[in-house]
Amino acid sequence: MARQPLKSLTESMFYVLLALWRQERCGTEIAAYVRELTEGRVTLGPGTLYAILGKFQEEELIKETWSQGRMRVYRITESGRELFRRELENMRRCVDDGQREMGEEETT
Amino acid sequence: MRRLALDPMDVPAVQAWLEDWAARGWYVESYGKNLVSFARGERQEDVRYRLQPVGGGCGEPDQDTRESYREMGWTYVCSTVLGRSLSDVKTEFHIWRCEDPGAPELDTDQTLREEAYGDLLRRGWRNIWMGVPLIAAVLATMWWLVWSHPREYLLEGHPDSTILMLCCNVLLTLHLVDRAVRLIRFTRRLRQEEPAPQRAPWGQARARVWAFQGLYALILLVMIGNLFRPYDHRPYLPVSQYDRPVPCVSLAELGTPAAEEAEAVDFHSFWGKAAWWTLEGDYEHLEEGGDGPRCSTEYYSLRFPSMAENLEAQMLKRWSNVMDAGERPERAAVLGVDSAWYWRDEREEWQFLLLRRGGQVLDVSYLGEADLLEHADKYVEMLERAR
Repeated sequence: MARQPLKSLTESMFYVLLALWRQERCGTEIAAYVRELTEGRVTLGPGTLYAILGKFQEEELIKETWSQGRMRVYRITESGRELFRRELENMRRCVDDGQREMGEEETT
Repeated sequence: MRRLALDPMDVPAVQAWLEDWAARGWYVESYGKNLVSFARGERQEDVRYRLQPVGGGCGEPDQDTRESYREMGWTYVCSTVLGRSLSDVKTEFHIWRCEDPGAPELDTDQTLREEAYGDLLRRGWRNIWMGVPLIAAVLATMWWLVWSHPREYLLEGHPDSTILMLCCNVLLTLHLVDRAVRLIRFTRRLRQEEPAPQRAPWGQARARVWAFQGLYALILLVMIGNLFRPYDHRPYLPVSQYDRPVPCVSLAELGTPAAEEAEAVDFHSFWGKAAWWTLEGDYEHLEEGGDGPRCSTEYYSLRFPSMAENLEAQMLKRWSNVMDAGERPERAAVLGVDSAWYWRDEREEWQFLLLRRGGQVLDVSYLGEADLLEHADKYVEMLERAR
């Protein structure tokens, strides 16, 4: 059976792409960045992190730029950026819808 | 080296079991299909073990992956072996150990974790569903055998063999249901993102595995024991020696008394409430053509009355073995029974009477001057008494 391409991102996937948005990073740097950015709310275990990196490479959302020994550094690709933008837009709409509904409820 | 008494699919129990051993200072080194080996080390209370499903089903994580995981606090221990082929070892889970209480969990994304377990869960369900036709086939075969040859099963030498087969099926069904329940619970736990339990719950999982293994072993032992047990040949005893009434009509009641008392033997089986064979008359000189009256009776009271018609058909078929070609038994009009068959062998002067009433079947073979049909009401009364 052919693999289904990624249509939406989980929270962990979202933060991995975000971690690579501005700069190239290796696995441990990504995990540390996400933990710091979310103040510990989102943690990436090694099982999850390396599964995501493998999946993203397969989907060509990220690329390995260089490796030295066991250290591998990744950068986001154009399709990765596109998927991230789309996901962000969806989330923004969700937030807008939610806020609008809640705002109406509060005024009534 | 410890024998593994946990189902590998019971992931939380296996993890908790390994954590308990680490707390006692024993660390898993290799994890085979049935044996797990441990190495001595320092006692540590906070060691975590996690099982990670192997995606492709083969091999071990490469060195780079191991190092990357190590940087995040997780050390590769070994992989659980599912089976071996000529070219490779089929592995089911990678086992990772973490000694740093501050390190993150191995898998932190619920969706990815569910995806990772997808193959395993599908295989688990496939194994369960494969067991269902197996149980159905065994039950159907058993039922068909009993249905088509009820007499043989009513006269079983080992009355417990049918019960044993039923027990085996019930146990297999329970085992499948138990596996299904645990798979459902495990899937729910994956979806609800419950934290992995620490150390406690493996005792119950092991007790369950031991209980199933013990029961299977017991059934197997009894089955093997049955192979070596002699067939249960019970002797014929004079009717007066039985402490309960024997269902038969004596030759004296037919008006042709015999010199000796009737003898009877009873059979016990799962399928019959009662089964008796009775002999009366000069059977010892049967081959030499002794001329005294003789009567042999087979009486069956079935646990499942719906089987009585099949038994009746089987008994009629037995009659046809002594009939000439073209001869057929005739239906007889006897009051108080569901069906009655009669046949008289004109050459040998034997008479045969077959009565069926509810779950009771009576087969009478008689040699003598009386007319069996004229005395059929005595047999009907006997059936009523024996009911």
